[in-house]
Amino acid sequence: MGNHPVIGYIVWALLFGALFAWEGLALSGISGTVPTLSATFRVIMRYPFGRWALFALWLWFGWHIFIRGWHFLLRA
Amino acid sequence: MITPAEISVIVGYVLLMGFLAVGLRALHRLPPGTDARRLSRAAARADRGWRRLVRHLLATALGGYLVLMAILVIYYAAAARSTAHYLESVLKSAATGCALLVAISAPLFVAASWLTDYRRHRAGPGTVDSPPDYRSAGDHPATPADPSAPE
Repeated sequence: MGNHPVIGYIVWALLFGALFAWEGLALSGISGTVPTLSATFRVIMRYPFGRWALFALWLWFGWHIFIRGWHFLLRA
Repeated sequence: MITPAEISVIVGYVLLMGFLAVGLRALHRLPPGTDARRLSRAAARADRGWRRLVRHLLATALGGYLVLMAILVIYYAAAARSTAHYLESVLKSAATGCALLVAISAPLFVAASWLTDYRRHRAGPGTVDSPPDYRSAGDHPATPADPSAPE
């Protein structure tokens, strides 16, 4: 766990749990008025700037994961 | 005292929530019973054609790339007040790395689109390989009809 307090990981777990719970509520159709995340993104992507922003977010994520944090396999 | 890292988190949160708010507001402006998926499919039908797809893809990739570069320049130069050397190295990594990601993902997206289109044309409507039908509301695929049921 390194030097980070456990409460920090618990908060992250709760946040992601809430995200999945909200998506599950939307997918289950119990509420009927809760849009899914994909439906929300679909609406955003109807506009050019929304598409640019989402693509920029995707690029930023990929840049951090695959470029900045890149290490060759088996490198000492 | 707010640190640059906290500023970036706050700005990112505000931007994300802003986009979601715009999306939700646009969603609620649709007439009742309108499915956003059908709207996007109708838009896709109206915007059909490989040349338009490539133009659409290039516009999205270039726009997203420029938006990210602008945000990074503003953040690292203004908010984080990085040194010139660090700023140069980060922006160089971002510019080349993101260009590499676009160069990899864009041809893959075109190839996947071609393959999907090819399979759809080859399978024809109403076959197993044809694209799944979706209900008018929600994201659930439609339940296929029971093949053993009497007609």
